[in-house]
Amino acid sequence: MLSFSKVVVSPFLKDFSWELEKGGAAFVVESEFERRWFLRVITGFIKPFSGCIRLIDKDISLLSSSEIYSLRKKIGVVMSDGGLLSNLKIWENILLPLLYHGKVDEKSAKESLVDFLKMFDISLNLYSLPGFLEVYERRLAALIRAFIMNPKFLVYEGIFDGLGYNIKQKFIEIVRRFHKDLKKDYYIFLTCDASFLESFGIKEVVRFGDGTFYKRD
Amino acid sequence: MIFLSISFMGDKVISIVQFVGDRVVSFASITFDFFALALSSLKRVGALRLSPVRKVFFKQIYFTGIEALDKILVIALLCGLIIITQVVSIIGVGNPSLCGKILVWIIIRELAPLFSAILVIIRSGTAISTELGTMKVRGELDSLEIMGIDPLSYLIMPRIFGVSMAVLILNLYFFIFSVFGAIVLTSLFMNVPFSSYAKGIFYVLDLKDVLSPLIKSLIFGFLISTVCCHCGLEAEGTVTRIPQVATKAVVQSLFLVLIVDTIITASVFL
Repeated sequence: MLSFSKVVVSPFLKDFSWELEKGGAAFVVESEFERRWFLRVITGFIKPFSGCIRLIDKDISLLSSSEIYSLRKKIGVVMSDGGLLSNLKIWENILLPLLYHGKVDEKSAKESLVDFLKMFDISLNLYSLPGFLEVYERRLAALIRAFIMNPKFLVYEGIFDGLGYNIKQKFIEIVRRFHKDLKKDYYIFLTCDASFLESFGIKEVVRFGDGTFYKRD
Repeated sequence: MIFLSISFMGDKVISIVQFVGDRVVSFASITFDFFALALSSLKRVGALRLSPVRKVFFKQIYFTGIEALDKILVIALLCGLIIITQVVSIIGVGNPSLCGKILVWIIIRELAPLFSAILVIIRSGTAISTELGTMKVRGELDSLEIMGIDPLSYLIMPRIFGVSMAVLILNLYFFIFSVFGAIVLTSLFMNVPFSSYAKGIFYVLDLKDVLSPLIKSLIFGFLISTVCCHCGLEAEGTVTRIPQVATKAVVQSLFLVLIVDTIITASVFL
């Protein structure tokens, strides 16, 4: 599902090879900058100088801009700041990719969202603007937005980083439930804090050290 | 001594040529980026079939056009009153046909599209460049791209088309209300029958006088929105860049509108 083959991307990837065929993995980094940088590499914003990055069987470096947009529709990304648009209400943010990619009409989309929230017993102020929400709530909205698109691959960028213990545990439970009930098997965590990895049973861990990703546990 | 003077002159000439060259290259680069953005937006008009894009388009027409109607109404009435007062003071009330001609020349051909454009620059130009600049600095444009949404299709194209439509609508309102205001003033306070002035105006109005300001207003709307979107997208790094790009958007839009107005007026009416 995601593979790196002798990839060189300045400044952190030097002849890096790695593969995730099934299940979850984690890239543990030292700072938010490295975390966001790696996200940009996986999602095709930063192209490799050499080597090959394959995501859902597509070589990212060979894709045109319309093909990259097409590929990104199949990836669910949850960013640490939520990645929400500040001038749209929460429900508009959540449904934006679903409506833009023409999968359903607005009325059906709203009904699906309400059903989804009821199914997982989640309470969120859907009519608020993102600026009025806590970080955890923005990440939760981004999580719902990603899952509602039924992605083939999920990338979580720092979603548990910086949260208090109780909120973090609650959020971990929500994500685990989503994975189990919605049968999501392919995901990676980009994180500065590895304490939650055991909760997901993640054994495939790549760490960042000495200025590059190269250590594996 | 002579050699030193020549050398000094030579250095001055080189620095002047360099300065002019830098400005020309910078201007050419900005113009190229501007046309590239304009063309990219035109190519993406098909995205209006998507409901979120249509929402942005209609919102833009509402904020730029509908919300400005009360302001354009007041400005139009006052402009009409001012102009007719001056016209009557110069030529008197006995020549409604000439009065009508002057109203058509000044208001319909020139003031209506120009004032509509200026009002949109002040109200919406700053808002668009600030909003896009803020989105750029906060990384919201990257968030859109990560969701597989092209920012040009979702954010830029509907704004450009929305503002163009809005300026057209405001222009129509301006010339209707300013001409109406002028006619009402003369009939109420100068004892000239309403029908005489109205006939005078319609007598001199021809197709060129109707089409040219409409086309002008569409072009102005297109230019203003493209410039403001372009400037907004230039904001990078820190939030202090946002007011800078907003100011730049207003100034560039104003200059461009005046230059294009001059060109269109000279080509159509000379």
